[in-house]
Amino acid sequence: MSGVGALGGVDPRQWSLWTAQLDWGTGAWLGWAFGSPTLIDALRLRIAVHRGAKSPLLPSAEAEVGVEVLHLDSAADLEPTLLTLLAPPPPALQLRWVRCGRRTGEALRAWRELHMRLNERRHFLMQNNPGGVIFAGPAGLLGATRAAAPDLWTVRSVAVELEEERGTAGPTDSLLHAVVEADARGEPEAPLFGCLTLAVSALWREDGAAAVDWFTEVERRLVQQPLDGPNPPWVVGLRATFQAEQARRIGDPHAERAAYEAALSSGAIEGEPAVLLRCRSAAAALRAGAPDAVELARAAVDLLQGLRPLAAVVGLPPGMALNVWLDVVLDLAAHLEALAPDAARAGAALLVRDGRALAELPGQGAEGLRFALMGALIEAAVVAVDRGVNDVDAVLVTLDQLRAEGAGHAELADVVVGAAIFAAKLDPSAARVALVRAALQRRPSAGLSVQLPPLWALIGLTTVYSSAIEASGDDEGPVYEALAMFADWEHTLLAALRAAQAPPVWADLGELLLGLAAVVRALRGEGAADAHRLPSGPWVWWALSAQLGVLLTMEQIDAEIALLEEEDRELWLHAREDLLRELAARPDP
Amino acid sequence: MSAVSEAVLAQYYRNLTPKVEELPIGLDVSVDLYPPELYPESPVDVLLRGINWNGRKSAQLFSGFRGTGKSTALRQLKARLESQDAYVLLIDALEFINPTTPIDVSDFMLVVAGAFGEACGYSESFWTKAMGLFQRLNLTGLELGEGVKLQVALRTDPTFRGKFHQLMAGHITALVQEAQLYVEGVLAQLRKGDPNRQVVLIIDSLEQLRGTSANANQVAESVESLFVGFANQLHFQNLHVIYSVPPWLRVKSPGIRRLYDGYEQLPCVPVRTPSRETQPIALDLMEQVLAKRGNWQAVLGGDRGLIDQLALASGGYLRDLLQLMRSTLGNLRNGRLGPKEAVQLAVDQLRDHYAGATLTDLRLLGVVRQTGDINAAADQGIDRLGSLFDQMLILNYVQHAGVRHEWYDVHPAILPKVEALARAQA
Repeated sequence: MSGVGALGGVDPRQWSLWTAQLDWGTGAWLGWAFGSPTLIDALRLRIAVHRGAKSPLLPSAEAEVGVEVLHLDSAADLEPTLLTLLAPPPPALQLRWVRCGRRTGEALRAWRELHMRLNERRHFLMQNNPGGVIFAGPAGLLGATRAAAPDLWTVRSVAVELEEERGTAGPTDSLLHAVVEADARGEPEAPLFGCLTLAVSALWREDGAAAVDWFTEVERRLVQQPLDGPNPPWVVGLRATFQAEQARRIGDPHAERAAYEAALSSGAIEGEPAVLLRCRSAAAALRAGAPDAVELARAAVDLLQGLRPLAAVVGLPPGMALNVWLDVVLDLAAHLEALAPDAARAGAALLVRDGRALAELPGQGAEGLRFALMGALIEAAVVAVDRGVNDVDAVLVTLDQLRAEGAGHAELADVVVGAAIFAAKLDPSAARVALVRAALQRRPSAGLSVQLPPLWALIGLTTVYSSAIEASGDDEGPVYEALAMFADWEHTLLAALRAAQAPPVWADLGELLLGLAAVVRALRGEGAADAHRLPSGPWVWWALSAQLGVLLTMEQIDAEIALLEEEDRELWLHAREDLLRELAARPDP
Repeated sequence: MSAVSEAVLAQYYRNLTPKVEELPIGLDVSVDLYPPELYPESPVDVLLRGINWNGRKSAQLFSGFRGTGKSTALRQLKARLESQDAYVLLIDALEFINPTTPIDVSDFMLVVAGAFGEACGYSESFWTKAMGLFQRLNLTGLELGEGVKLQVALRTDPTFRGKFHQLMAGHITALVQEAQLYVEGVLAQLRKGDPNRQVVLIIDSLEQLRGTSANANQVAESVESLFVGFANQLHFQNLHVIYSVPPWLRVKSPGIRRLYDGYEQLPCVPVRTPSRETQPIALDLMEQVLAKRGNWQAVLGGDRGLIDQLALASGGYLRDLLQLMRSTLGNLRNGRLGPKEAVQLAVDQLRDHYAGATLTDLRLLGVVRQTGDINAAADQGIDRLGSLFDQMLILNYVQHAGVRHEWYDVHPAILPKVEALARAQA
């Protein structure tokens, strides 16, 4: 289904299915949503607002009354999740989410196992979840989930593959839409919350006029429809955040810091949003020359370093989170520069401002900041992409020029590749696919970085593949060609990853990709000598298959091996046997 | 907003639930899906005949895909038998058998006899009796802890179950005899005062034995071995039994029909003929299913063509028909779409639910589509074929036009992808 006009990742035409079930359904029901954590967050926000609840952005006890979220990200989560789902429910339970946000082999295996084990327990599942259960998993798992739990699937109420947002429609529109709907239902709190969030969001987007409009709307509503009793913490927290943003805009760091502290002490803002506020507060303290500023800033850098891997799951709508992220990084970098005149750090700050001198960043010392800055630059490209396809070309040109100036700096090249990939995701035409190919081919093979590429690789794999499908219609040739080209690139990349002893989570992903590289090369009759790289274990194939939608299953691989020339086939089969023995000797990944 | 009120749409939506127990009390949604124009007898008629014409004992197999009305048919059969004053027991096998591990004739006999005695309220439990048999046979290692029941240990303790299979391997005949004798005893008590009374035992849910990714083939083989290799032992003296079995069993063992007194499989509604022309009688049935649950004329402006569009998109699979209509109602809700657009969108939405098939699956489905049969596809792995059945990607149809005709086709929701692949391969 096309994602044109998507609202918070939910196609408006799909959204009608959710609202119909939420408003009309009775008794237990089952729904599935597949998409990135950010899109799932957006869906959760929409559903929360629609249900008249407060927001998941405020993960306090009152945020979503009657809603429980179970996280399934590792094998260790499987049993507790099953037991919770099949045990008598807590009183007043209205809705459960089962979320799997990771794409590691372990998480995907747990997701599948959960579905298989629930499949024949439909009766117990429904009995113990009287409201409903929404299973939210990574994109591309719909088919695999259906196969793992066919019985549950036959009684689904909703099942959607959420899509990346396109064009200018974004979470703001989603929230706005939800506000309008909640208004139509005559519910006071949900629209109020939505307006406050929109006000803060507008400030973070540097859209002062919209922010004032929304905040005025909030005040108007509070006057016309005062809430029962004192304002709840989420009103206090968001109001204080708004005031802090206003203070920042008029250049009053003392007031800004005080307001941020008030927002934090409201207790309504927790988790990743609170980290962002703490960083902003630290930046304000730096600007105000507070005695504890350096200490605060160092703590903030630590927080950011921890937050960066969570950027994708940060509990804010994506555009808002990315802008805040960029702002915080800029602030901290700029003021750290003033406090600690380190040339590299100064270069880093300038880099993000004008897009230069990334190569000057030191590899050690300011690692946390460097890491954050890389994220900021990439996210800046993403934000640009989000704002319209035309901007992508400008981003690409700029970054590519920078790459040339930076004499093949690998990290910058990653950004070029990443931006190209995002461009192709937005517009999977033949021209875009060509752009991705060109970007990949230009990518230098030396000096590969180890922090971001695996994530790019995962995104790139699906993008190139789906782009190639879009571009080539029913012809499989270009699909294989695109995969093979990408696999060659990944092959080099992953060798570097391994050499650099990448963190385990990426090694896990890397193994999947390495497998793909070997498979594609062998399917094309090339690189049979690489067959020893072929990993095994059903989970690898299952994950690959899920990743690619239709391409790979163990049976298919075996079938394809059977079609190879005898010499190659023997080599492959021996390699498989060797590998299976090796894997059997290893602990379960 | 649609011309129909929100309340009407909402009620219709609720009435379209696939869960019969959630329907409003008094709402009769039953439709005879087996009209004489398509079937000389309904599957329930066939099963009933298999009992009435076989004196005091018979063993029949019954199969059907998810959501094709299997449980409803079994309930109808029970009601009709009871109206003949038969004593009918309907047992859910999953209460006693773990569906994820291979099944063995020894524990199956234990379950059948044990569940039968328990359901009849027989004074002596077969589970206890079996423990006595183990002692007589000197089978050490099958002792149970304090308060542990044999049936629970068999279902939940893989170690105990493994040991049980191992020790019973040489004593299956003794266990079968013990079970048969026990069933005779229960039957004698049931027939006190009415020696001619028919007693029928229906074991449901056996088709759900499937295993996990690691042992699916092993479980499938165990099911085949049980129903083919031990068919004689699954017949009981003076008792009619009906076992629900997986649809793939007949594919894997084509001769299985001959081992039993009957084999009946519930098909989907043949909305298209074998030559793929639309079948008006079947479309009328689908219309009745929707009409029983709400006023579709009011919702869709009386456009019968739209109902037919939904029926054809469902492939005659009832749960998808209900899903399609629910989606249609949701799509109509905000008034932005007219009935035609809402129906077309519902069809697109259903297609999304069938996305994500692997290339191998698409190829297999292509073979089924081309041949109208599943034998060629079965050659490539029964477990994969079973998975396609489970996912309703393959639909089974039967109709009688002079002679009985049975065929298979792929679900219309995935058909475009299957055809696209076929074109690419060509």
